[in-house]
Formats: sequence, structure tokens, C-alpha cells
Amino acid sequence: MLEVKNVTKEFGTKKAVSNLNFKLENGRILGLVGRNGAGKSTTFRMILQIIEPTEGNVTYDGKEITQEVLDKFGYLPEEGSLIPAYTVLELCEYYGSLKLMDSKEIRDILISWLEKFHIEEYLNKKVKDLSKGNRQKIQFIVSNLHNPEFLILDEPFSGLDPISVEELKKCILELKAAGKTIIFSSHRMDHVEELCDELIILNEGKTVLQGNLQEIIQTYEINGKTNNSVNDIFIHAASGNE
Amino acid sequence: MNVRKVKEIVKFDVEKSIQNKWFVILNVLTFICILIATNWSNISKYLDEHNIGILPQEEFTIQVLDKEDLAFNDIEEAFKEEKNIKVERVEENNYSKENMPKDDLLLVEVASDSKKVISVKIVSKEAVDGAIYDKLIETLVETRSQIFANNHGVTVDELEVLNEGLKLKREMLGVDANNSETKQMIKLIATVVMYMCLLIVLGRIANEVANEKVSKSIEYVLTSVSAKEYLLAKVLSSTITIIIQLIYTIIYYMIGNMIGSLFVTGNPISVASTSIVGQLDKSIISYILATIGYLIFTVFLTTLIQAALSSKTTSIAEAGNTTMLLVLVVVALYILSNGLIDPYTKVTTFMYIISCIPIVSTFFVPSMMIIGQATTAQVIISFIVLIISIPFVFNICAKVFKNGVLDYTSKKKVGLFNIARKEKKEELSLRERQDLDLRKSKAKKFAFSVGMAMMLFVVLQTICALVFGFTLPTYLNGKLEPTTILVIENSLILMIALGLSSLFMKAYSTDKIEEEKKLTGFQKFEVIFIGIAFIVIVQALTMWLLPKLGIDGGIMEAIGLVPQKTFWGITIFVLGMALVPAIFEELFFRKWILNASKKYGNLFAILFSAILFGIYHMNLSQGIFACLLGIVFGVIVVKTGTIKYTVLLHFLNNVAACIGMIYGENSIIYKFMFNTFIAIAIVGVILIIKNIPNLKKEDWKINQDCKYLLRNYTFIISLVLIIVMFVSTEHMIH
Repeated sequence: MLEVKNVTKEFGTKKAVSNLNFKLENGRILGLVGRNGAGKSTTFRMILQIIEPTEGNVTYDGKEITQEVLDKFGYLPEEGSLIPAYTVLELCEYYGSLKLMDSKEIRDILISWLEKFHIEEYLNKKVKDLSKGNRQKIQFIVSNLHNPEFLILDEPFSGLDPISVEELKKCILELKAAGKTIIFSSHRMDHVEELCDELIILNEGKTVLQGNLQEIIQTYEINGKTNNSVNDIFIHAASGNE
Repeated sequence: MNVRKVKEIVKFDVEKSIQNKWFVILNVLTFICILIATNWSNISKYLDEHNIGILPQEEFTIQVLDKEDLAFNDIEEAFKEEKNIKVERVEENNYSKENMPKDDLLLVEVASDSKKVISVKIVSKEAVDGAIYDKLIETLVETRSQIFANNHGVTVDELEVLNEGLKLKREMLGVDANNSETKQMIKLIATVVMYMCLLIVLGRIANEVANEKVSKSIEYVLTSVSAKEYLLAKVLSSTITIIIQLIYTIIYYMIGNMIGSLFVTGNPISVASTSIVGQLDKSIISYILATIGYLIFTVFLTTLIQAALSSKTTSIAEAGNTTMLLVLVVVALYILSNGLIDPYTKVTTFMYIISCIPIVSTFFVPSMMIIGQATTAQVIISFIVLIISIPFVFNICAKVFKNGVLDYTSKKKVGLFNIARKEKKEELSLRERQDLDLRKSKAKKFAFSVGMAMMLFVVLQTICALVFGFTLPTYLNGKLEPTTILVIENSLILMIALGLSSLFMKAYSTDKIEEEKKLTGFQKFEVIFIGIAFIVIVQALTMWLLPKLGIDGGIMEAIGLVPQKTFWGITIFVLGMALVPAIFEELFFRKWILNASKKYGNLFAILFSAILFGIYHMNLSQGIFACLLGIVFGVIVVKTGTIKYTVLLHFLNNVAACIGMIYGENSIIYKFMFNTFIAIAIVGVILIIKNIPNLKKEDWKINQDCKYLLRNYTFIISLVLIIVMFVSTEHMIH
């Protein structure tokens, strides 16, 4: 179980994230949504200990997030994060070696993932020659290479065509079925509605709405009505209404 | 610290870099070079045996004009073996540029000289084959020695003794003199190796860190390893790559040596190894070990610093610049160590302390070891300091690295001075802040354009002075008198330097040029009269002021420019000394500089252009006058919107000075001119008083933004340049 307690991050005088609290049970999917600059990526980076929170702390299964814990995590950073001069294989070998995998293992897993996305021919292509959508798929593969039990996906659907989106959704649901815990961020509420168990809406670093997705849909009132679409709820909440 | 992860990264990195095709290409080339170098004696022997690169096979004639029969026999004897070279005697030299054959003939003229030995003249059309020439010279030198020896009743061998010069041996008993040359050599090799290593390693690590930062893959990496582990792995992998390269190089050397020894009888391996080890003794071995130790640790430390520096950059090009920075520091240390440590002077305590500092010790201690002034304790202490410093530097670098590598903002305010300013900035709204930033960047652009224009002017002036200083006198000497040539030279320099600088200002500036104000005929007349009145006032003021300040006013007299009193002499003098400066100086200072600086207020523009105009004259007496006059002209330009009037006034002022120089200040024409000026000035003063109410107060403000001008490097350095030039010229005059 991931537990985020009173986490705040300040950059200078600006509060990127303020007083964030949530718990995520293993095997569930949390959608972290918000407008651009709402503090989603900062939250992810704090969970991953890339940056330290100004206040508060994060634990996983009751333990501090150490390097051993992080090895069980998979991370898909927001954009880029692939070294352009490397081939897909070299890149996965590099990232895999950081997770202490041997190269045969890396190659096998990589090829099976490439087959899943029908892009086997990209194995020896350089990252800089790939399209944006294909890079995104490679990033997703990289984050899953070491079979992590906990996945953090920052905008996993960005740059993907509709068919690839469906493929990726299917993968995420398969991963959930295999017992993985997943947090992802997105701008697209239909993705959230289909995939998430829990929902957090951030606005300017503050949590404006949080809880079980179905409960939210049933109880959130807009102009006295409930059972609104997640999209409407998001627009209503993220534009400063409580 | 997860050792396994560090090992994995190092393994991946090292494998990747040594399996890189460029690594292989570089190594193949190095291998070939070393192979050739180590076997050079065999190769040249082979070439010798097969007559390659020896005397040419074409027919060649050496004609000897030797009336006294001093050297002919020796030359003939020397070339007897060469079938294709004919040596013949001639009685006279009839050759000229036209009838000399191109490349198969050479004429040697031998005669006795005043000291009863021979003097030689060798004539050919163009260069001839070096081998023939060398052999000929060698023969003639021998002949000369022989003749000298015969004349003085000594043998050639006795003569040789004198030729060898003084045999000097400086012995310092504390210094290992036998090996000092070898050690110098080792130091040189170590330095070269270090530079190669640093250039390769630093470039590599800078590139990799910047690459991972720019591609943001560092974010992924930092979820797997800590910043410290990553930094250590990167530095280690770079260092190991270099060590591997060193091993390769040693192997190439050994292969080359062994191939060489195949041509010599005996067991190749033993020959190769004894040829290396045989030359060494204990003191050299310890020297080599110390040098290698320093080298490895220094490369490691520098690489750490490089990684930390590169993490601060936001592009690969910037990371490259930081590499140059570090390499420059290392070069500077090397030069310092060579300059400060002299074999014949004692090393001071200060130097002993300095040489304990890590990285510095790498250059200083081996130098001190060579001259026997580094004690064992010294070496050990410097090593201990070096080793202790590593974790210390490593921790600092890791901290810098972690902060830097996640920071993608390209502009970062660093330092204490910005704290107060920053807080003030926070109070401003976003729009105000943006406005401030825009104004600052405009000011910096303006400062850059002025600074660049000034530097351009100085550089162009220097180049033109060199070019015209050489060419004009050559072409015009005899045709024109020296003063006229000098005047032409000066005006050409002025035209080009000020003209091109003005063009630069024009091309760079985006300010709109103010339109000329329409003046009535009377107003035009007013402007001229007021201008002349001010010139007279300023002239009087400076004449009164300069002696009080103890400044010598007679700069022009000191130069002593007096033209010939012919029509052309005077015309060129007046054009060159009065008209050209008037036009081009007004164009540059009043049109472009003043116009561009108007956005910081009229008063600022006038003062700024006037001060620059003053400094431009490069001496105090003219400078003060020019500065004051610049203020007057500036006001006129601001009020009229054109430089027409100031060009005229400037010209008149210069003409008056010219007439003073040509005819002297006691001449009738000068006195006439002087009195006319005074008369006009009196009218002018009345007009000035009349016009005082026209000066509106709001015209004379200084915009506070002008303080940002000093934030531009180009501007500052150009100011430094012209101030230094000013001071040194002033110093030179006295």
C-alpha cells in the first residue's frame, strides 16, 4: 500500500503541491488528474524520491522509500526520457542493467513486449528515428521491463493513435489483473473513467476532489444533479468550484 | 551505495564506448602511427637499401666556376660515384633568370675571401633536389676546413676541437643528474598523455551527462540509482575507458618493438622487454610511479568536477564549453609549474605549500622531483591530501550534480547580490516583471551594440594603420610630401574605421531615426551662431582650465604636422584634417551613438556620446575639449534632429585649428579668423540668452534603465579597452 502523508513541495515561494494526502491499496488503479501545471509530475517525482518533499513523507507497505523499494517501482516519465542516440535494444539494456537484469532476460522481455505492440522491427532502430507515439510505447515497455509491482505512468496516452490507445488500455487492465498497483495521470477523462478505481483531482497544487471513482460519480453534485460524467466533474472541480 | 548497480553501469558504459566504431578507427590509426614510429630505423634502412629518397636518377649537371682551383677537385671527387651527376668546370657565369635551365643544373661559384678561406655562391633557377644540395654543402664545408687548417698549420682534427664549443657540466650533487633528462621526458609524455586523457574523458563525460540531462532520461535513471552512485559510475567508466586506451597504446608499442626486433637477431620478446626495462633504474621507476599516480587521481578529480559542471548546463554545446574551461585551467597550471620551478633556484616555502593542493600537485611535485627539491615527505603529504580530497570533492560534486541535473531552467540567478533584488522582484506582478525583463534585455542589446561598435572601431583602426602605414609610404614616397601622406593615411583610417562602425550601428539598431525638424532661415542662422559662440566659450574654458589641472595643451604642436604651403598641400591637409573627421565623427557619435542612446533620455544620450567622443581622442587635453564640445553638439543635434549643423560647426572648428597649424597663431589669416569667430560669438551669446526659455525641462531626463548597460560583457570589455588605451596613450605622450 502506498501512503502519501501531508506532502508539500515548494519551489521558491511557489507551492507546486500543497498538503497532499492519499492511500492506495495494492492492486488498484489511481487516476491523478488536473490541468497543466497542477502538480501531477511533481507528485510522481516525490513518490519516486527524485525530488524531496518540503514537508510530509511517502511510505510503501509501511516502509520508507529506499532504493530497494524503488526497484519494485516502474516509472514512465512525462516526455522524452529516452536517449536519442541509442537503439531501442541498447536503451533497454542500459535501463535494465540499472535494475540488475542480465542481457538475455532483457532481450526476451523486450521482444515479447514489442510483439504485443506489433513493433518488432524497431528493436535495432535508434530512438531518434522513432515517431512520438512509438517512443511512448518504448517508454511504457522500459517502465515495465523489470516486471515492477507498482507502476507510475505520467501521461501514458500522450501522442498515441486511437488503436494504440486501446492496446495500451488493454495492457494496463492486464497488468491490473496480474495484481499490479498503478498510478497514472491523464488529461482525458474517458481514460480515467474506464481504468480507474480511485480519483484525485489537483488544481494549482491543491487537492480539490478525492475518493472512490464510483462514489464520486454518485455523490458529486453539479447544479443540484448527481451522476454527471467524469469530464463534467473534472471541469467543474478543476475550475475552482468545490 | 549499491556496488552492483555501479558495476553494471560502468560495464555498460565501458563496453559501449570501446565497441564504438570511432574508438576502433582512432585505435587503428594510433596503432599504425606507433608501428611506423617504433620501426622508423628499419623503414629508413629499407628505403636506403632500395635507393628510395636518395640521390635522384635524372641527369643533373653541377657547373663549377672556380678560377683559383680551390674546390673543384673535392666536388668532383664527392660526386664521382653518382653516374647521373656530371661535374664540369666553367669559366664564367652567363646565366640570367631567362636562360637558366629549370631543374637539372646548378652553378657553384667558389672564390677565396678576405680571411683566406673560401666564399661560395650557388645559383640555380629554382629549388634543387635536397640530397644533392646537402652533399654539395657538406663537401664545401670540408674543403673550407681543410684550407683553413692548411693556412694555419693545424690539422683538421685539431680544428674540430674548437668547433665543438665549451663542454659545460653543471653538477648539483643532490640532484639525480643522470636521469634528469629522462625524467623531463617522462614529465613531458605524462603531460601530453594527461591532456589527451582529459580532452577525451572530459569531452565524453560532459557529453554523456548533458545528453542524459537534455533527453531527460536522467529522471528514469535516478529512480534506479542515487545521484551519487550514478556520478561515481560515470566517472569510473570514463577513467576505466582511458586506462583501457592506455593499455592498448602500450600494447601497440610492444608489438611495434617486437616487430622491430624481428630484424635483429635474438629472442624478440626478451629484446623488447630488456629494451624497455634495461634503461630504467630505481629513481626513474619511482618517478614514473608517482607521475602515473598523480595522473590517474587528477583525471578522476577533474572528471568529477566536469560532471558536476555539465549537470549545470542545459545543452550539449554548453557542456563542451565547460570542458574547455577545465582544460584551460590545467594548461595554465602546467605553464605555471614550468615557469615557477627553475632548476637553478631554490624552491620557496610558499611553493611547497601550493604544491600540496590537489591537481596543482600533479604539475608542481614532479617538476620539483626532477630538480631534487621534493622530499619523500613532500610527495607523501601531497598524495595524502590528494586522496583525502577525493571523497570531499565527490560529495560536493554529487550535491551539485543532483541539483543541477534536474534543473532545466536555462537562466539561473546565482550569488549573494541577487537576493535583495530577487525579493524586490517578487513584489512585482507578472506583467511588470516581464516588462522589466524586456527593458533589461533591450539595455543589454544596446550596450552590446555600442561595445561592439567601439571594439570594431579600435580593431579596424589598428588593422588600417598597419595596412596603410606600410602601403601608402611605399607608393607615394617621392610623389607627395610626408605630411600629406600622413594626412591621407589618417583620413583613410578614420573613414574606414568610423564608417564601418557606423554601418554596424545602423545595421544593428532597430530604433527609428528622428526626423529633421523644419527650421526657418533665421533659426538656421541662429543655430550656427550659437554653435560658434559655444565653440569659442569651450575653447576659452579649456585654455583656462587645462593649465590649472596641470595638463599640457600642446598636443598637436607636439605631433608637428605642418604641410607644405602649396595649393594641394593645403587642400589635402584641410580636407583630411578638418572635413573627414567632421563628417565621420559626427556620423558615428552624434548620429548613431546619440540616436541609439536617446531611449535612455536626451540628457543621457548627450552625455554618453560626449564622453565617448572625449575618450575617443585618446589624450586628456583634446579629450576634455572634445567632451565639452560633444555636449554642445549633442544639444544641437537633439534640438534640430540632424547632424548637418554640427558637421558644419565641427568643420569650422577644425579649420580654425588647421589654419593655426599651417600659418601659425601669429599670422594675419589666423588673427582674422579668430576675430571673426569672436564677433560671431558675441552675437551668438545674445542668441543663447534669447533661447534659454526654449529649453524645456522634460527634455533633460535620464532614464533609470541605463544602469542595466553595465550588465553586458561586450560593453564592459570595450570600456576597459578604451580606458586602458586612453591611459597608455596619455602616458606615451608624456
